[in-house]
Amino acid sequence: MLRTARAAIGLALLLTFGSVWSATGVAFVHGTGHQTDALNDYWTSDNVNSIRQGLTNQNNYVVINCDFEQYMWDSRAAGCLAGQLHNFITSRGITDLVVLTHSNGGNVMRWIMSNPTWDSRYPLIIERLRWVNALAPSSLGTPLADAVMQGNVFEASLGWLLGYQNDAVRMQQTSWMAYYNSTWLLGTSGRPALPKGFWNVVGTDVHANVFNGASYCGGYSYQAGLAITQAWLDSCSDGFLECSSQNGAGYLWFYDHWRTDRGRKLSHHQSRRDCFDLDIILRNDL
Amino acid sequence: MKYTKTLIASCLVAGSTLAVAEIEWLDRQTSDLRTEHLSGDTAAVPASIHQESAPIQFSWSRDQALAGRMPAGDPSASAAAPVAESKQYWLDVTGRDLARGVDLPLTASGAVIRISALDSGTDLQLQPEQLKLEFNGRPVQARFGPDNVSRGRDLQREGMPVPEDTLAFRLSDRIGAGNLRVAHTDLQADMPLVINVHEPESPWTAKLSLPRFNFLAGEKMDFDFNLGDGRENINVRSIQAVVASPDASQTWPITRGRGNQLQVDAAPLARMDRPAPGLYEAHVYAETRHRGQTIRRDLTLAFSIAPPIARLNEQAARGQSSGQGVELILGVETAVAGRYQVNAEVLGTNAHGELEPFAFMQSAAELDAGEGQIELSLDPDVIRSSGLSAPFEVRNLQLLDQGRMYLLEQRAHGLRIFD
Repeated sequence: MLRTARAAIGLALLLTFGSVWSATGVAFVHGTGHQTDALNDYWTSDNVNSIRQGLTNQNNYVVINCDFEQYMWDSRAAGCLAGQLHNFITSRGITDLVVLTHSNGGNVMRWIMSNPTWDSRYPLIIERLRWVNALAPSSLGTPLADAVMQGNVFEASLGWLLGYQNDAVRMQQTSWMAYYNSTWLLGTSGRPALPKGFWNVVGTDVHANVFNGASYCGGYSYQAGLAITQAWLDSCSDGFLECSSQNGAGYLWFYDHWRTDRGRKLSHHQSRRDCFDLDIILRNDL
Repeated sequence: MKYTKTLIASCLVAGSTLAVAEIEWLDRQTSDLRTEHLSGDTAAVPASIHQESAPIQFSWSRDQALAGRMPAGDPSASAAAPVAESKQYWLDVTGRDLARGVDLPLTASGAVIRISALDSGTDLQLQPEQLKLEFNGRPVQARFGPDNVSRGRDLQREGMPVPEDTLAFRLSDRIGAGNLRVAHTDLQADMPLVINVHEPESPWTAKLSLPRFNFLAGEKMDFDFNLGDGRENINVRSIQAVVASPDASQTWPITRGRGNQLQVDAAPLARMDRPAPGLYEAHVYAETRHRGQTIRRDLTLAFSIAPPIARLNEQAARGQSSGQGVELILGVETAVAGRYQVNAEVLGTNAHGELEPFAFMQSAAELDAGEGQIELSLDPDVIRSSGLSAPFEVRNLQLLDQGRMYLLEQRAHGLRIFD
C-alpha cells in the first residue's frame, strides 16, 4: 500500500515537474551590429514565433540584443551574450539550451565555447547547451571585409586601418579569423573539438531576379550590388559568405537546398528569416 | 623516442595529495613557441584588462561535439599557418588626382574598380555619368549596364561594409590587360579617396605566408612572398613592406632578402599604455613588369607578437583526486601579474597500445609576478567513457595571457603521464 502510494506520488511529481527538470529553451543570437530590438529588426517576430512553436513551453526563448560591432571577446559582445544567456538559463530553469546564431553571432558564441575559463558564467552556459545551430556563420571570415579594410600605407596615413570600420569587420577579415581560429577558437580542422556541437546551415546561392519568387523572401537582393560583391566570392556563397567559411568550424548540418522547400537556396539575408521552411526545420529540431 | 625526464615536484603541490606517479616532459619541437628568458622590461607591458578573478577549470571529451547528431561533412580546410593571397591592389588618391586621371594597370578583363571616400560621411557624390575612362590611351565609354555599377548603399545592403560614399563598377570583357585611366569630374580637390582594383579573372596571384601565427618579441620573422600565374613565379621588381602595430600608430620596415624573401630580424613590440586589441599586420605592396605588362598586388597578413612575460617552468606534478581523474599541476614563471590560461589536449592509450586524442583541458587563474602554478583537471567520467587508459600524453600545450591576449608558449608535445 505504502509502495503504491509512493509510486503514485512519484508519478504525479514527474508529470508536474518533469518539464521543469528538462526545460528546453532556445536563444536567438544575431550577427554583426549593435542590436536593441533584434526580434523585429533582425529575426522578425514571424520567424521567432514560428520556431518557438517547437518548445513544450513556448515562453522559454530569448532574443539576444548585444553590441556585436565589437571584437567577439569584448564585454559588450561575448560578455553581453553570456550575461543574457546566463540570466535566461537561471531565471527560467533551462537545462537544455539550443542556440541559434546567425553570421558573426556564431563567432561570438564560439568564443564562449572555446574559452570556458575566460568568465565564470561561461561553464554553466556550456554545460546547459545542447548544441548551436549556426546559420551561415562567418567562421573563416569574408573577403568582403578584406576588401574594405585597405588603403595604401605608403601613400597616406594609417588612419584607414582603424577608420570607418568597426572592430567586428576588422576581425572578420580572412587572415584575422585564421589567426583566432589557430589560437583562441576551437572547432576548425586540425584544432581540438568544441565542448558541444556547432552545426552549420550553409547558404549556397543568392537570387536577384525580379521574375523569381525566391528573390523576394527576406527582402529583395539588388542585382546591382550583387554583381559587384560576387566578384570577391567563390561560386558557392550566400552573397556575403563563401560556403567554405560557413562550414569552417564545427560540423555540417546541411546545405540549404538539401532540406528547404523545393530545394531553395538561402541568401545571407534569408538564413535569418522564415524563408523556404527554414523556420520549420529549426522548430522541429527543438 | 627520447624523453627529457624531469621530476615530480613535491614543492609544487603543498596542500594537495601527491600521487606517486611519474611525469615526463617531452622533447621540444622546432615549431614550438617558448622563451628562454623572461622580459626584464616590464614597464612597457600594458596592464592586464581581464575581468574574471576566480580560478576556473574545465574539461571535456572530444566526442561531446558530436553528441546527438551525425555530421553531414567535416569542416572546410582552414589554414595551419598564416597565408594571404591577393588579386587586388589599392591606391590612395585625392579628388585632384582623380579629376586629372589616375592610371590603373590591369592584367585581365572583368576587373572591378571601387572608388570610396577614405572617411565616411563626406557627402561625396560619385556618379557613373561623371566617369571618364581611357584604355591604352583611347577613350572608352563608361557604360556598364545596370548590373555592373553600384553605389555604396547597394553594396552595404549586400553586406559589404563600404562607406556610402562609394562607386564601384565592373569593366566589360573588352577591357583586358593594359592601362586604364580613370577620371571623375567635380570632386573636392583635397578629398582623400581610395581606389580598389580587384582582378578576379587575372591569373596573377600574390601570396604571402609565415611559418606560424604567433611570435615572441625579438624573434626573427621570415615571410615567404611570391607572385605567379599558376605556371611560374616571377621575380618582382619593387616590393615595399611594413609591419603595423595593432593600433596602427607604429610601423617597422620589412626588409627584402634574396629573391622574393622578406624578413624582420627581430619581431617588434609596440609600446602601448594599455593593450590594443587586435593583431599586428604585415602590409606588402608589390609591382613589377612582365612581358610588357605591369602587375600590382597588395597583401595583408595578420599575426601576433607578444613580449616574453611568462613561461611554463617545466615543473609538473600530478595531484590525485578522489576519483580516477587526471589532475596536473604545472609551474608557471611570470614577469608580471595577470590572468594566465593553460590549454592541453589529452591523449590516452588504447588496447593496441596506441595513443588516441580524447579530451581537452583548460584552466585559468590570476598569478602574481614570480613563480606560480596552474592546476588542470580531467573529469574521471571523461576518461572512463573513452575506454582509454594510461599512459596519457598532453599535446598542444599552450600558455596564454587572457588580460593582454598573448600566446606565450606553445608546445606540440607536452607531457607524458604514467599511472
